[in-house]
Amino acid sequence: MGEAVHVNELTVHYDQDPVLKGVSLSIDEGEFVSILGPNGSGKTTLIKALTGLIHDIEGEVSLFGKPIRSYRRKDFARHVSFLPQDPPTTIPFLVHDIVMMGRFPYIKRFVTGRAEDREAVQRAMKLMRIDHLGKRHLMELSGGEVRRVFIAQAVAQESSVLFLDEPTANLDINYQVEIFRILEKFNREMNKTIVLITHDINHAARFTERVILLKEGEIFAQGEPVEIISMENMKSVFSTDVCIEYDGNNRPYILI
Amino acid sequence: MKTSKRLITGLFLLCLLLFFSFVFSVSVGAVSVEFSHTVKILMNRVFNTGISNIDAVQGDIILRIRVPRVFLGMMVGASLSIAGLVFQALLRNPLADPYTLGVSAGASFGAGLAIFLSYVVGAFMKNFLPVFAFFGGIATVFIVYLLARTRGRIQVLTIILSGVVVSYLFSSGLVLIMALLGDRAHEVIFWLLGSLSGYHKWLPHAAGISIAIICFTFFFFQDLDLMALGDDQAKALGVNTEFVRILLFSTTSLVTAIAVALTGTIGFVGLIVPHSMRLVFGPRHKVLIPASAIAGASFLPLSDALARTLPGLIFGSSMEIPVGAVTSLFGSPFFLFLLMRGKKKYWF
Repeated sequence: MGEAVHVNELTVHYDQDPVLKGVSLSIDEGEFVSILGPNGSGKTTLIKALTGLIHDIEGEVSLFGKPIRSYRRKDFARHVSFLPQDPPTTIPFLVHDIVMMGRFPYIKRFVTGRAEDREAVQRAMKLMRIDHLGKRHLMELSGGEVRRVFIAQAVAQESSVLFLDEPTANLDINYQVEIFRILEKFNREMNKTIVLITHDINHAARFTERVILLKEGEIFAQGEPVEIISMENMKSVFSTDVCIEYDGNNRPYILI
Repeated sequence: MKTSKRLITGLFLLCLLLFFSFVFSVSVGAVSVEFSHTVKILMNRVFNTGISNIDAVQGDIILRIRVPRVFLGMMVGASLSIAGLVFQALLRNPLADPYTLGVSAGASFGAGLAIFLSYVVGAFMKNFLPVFAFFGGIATVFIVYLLARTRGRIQVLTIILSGVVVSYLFSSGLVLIMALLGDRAHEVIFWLLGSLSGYHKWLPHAAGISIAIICFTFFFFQDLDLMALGDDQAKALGVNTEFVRILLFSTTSLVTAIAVALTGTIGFVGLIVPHSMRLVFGPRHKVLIPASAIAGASFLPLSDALARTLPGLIFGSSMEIPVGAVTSLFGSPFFLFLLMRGKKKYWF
């Protein structure tokens, strides 16, 4: 399998102090990766630099072997989708229209309403089980439904790489598990590369194949959950004492 | 599809409104010309029907005074509505209007300066008033843009605040000019209120540019929809937000500056027409752009027709009230009606 994302010596400054300090990493096609780390460790900055949303970066970020700067914006959007931390919840569009926005990278000016776009939207909505909500307004939906609408938008984008910034934040446990299950399904059945930020160490350990642990703008450790999620690592990154147990599949989970 | 049929019906009704607005505005005024005569004169002009029993004076009133005035109203109404629509979308702010970036303050300062210079340098300076106003408006937007630019990019909030601050700066400059003008300051005030009565000779060029820009805006209906999601998400979906923002700020500021240069600062249209259209047609710019242009082009000539005739009807006097007063006087209740009706469906 080829390399999807390659990062070499990535440094990002907002003001004087660097938020990311010489981060290097590589993500293969079809991988399911989670980024963990305390607030302010540079998780969102990293994911925004990887999706081309931050311009002032030092170092190199490439996608499928080409520097991300060399992509045209629409072309890049056909390869990569990004779900920000707080998708807007009060815009007045219908659910169907919002999912249709995911087709923007494929639509030429004035050529709207193509059958293949409608089908992609239908598939995405069915997959996220929101096909009955198409004619509803976003504001009428619950938090979990809103999140599913925006994931459906990213799905309709039909990119091979998905970046998600805290896709389960502020959701009830049933929605959290549901969203991770769906992402797992994308990863396994459709071979999508998924990179997500989460605060839930247990979810990261249970669902993802690789954990990248960030501390103060640097990669503290990365590898399989069973190697990375250890008492020592948690203590040094989060300054918290935790107990670690292992489930039937030898996946670690933490107890506070 | 049921919804698209509704949209087409809506747009068709708007076109009817535009036609009605044109005929009505052309046929009313200080000099009463019978409606049938008005139609005859217009038909004769358009189809060359060769009707001979047309009063030459009435023909001149209709064709040389009223028609240009109505056309100017249509152009300015459409321009301000489109500019308001685009500004609200680009700034993601329901209170934005064509004047948010300071076009009106700069143009008013320019106009005030032209009036001031006409007393200092010579009366001919007044002929250049639209030129002064136009460049005042454009210069202000440019300054605001430069102020708001940080590291090659513009933040939405910064540009709104810069617009407000620079507007205040130019307003105080205008107040200074008015103080220096003393008793003659009423000329500036009259200009500030806005009127469709003057500068018809500039109309063909101005209308050409404005119509071209309004059509050009339509190319970006999808980009404008997606920008409601916020910059990060719009970018991630492939919208070149920086480019679209700079391009559409420039073009819509240009149409606004043209409109203000020719008519003064007519308020309310750019705020209320796009919002009314959102209430009626929903948030998609594919429909909103043509709908706002047509609605604006109907609304302003109608308001102007009322501004010309109401004082006569009520007080029997031949004075005109400023068109800006009429737009808000009749526009606000209509907008409130739409808002109450559509309350449950409307979020900006």
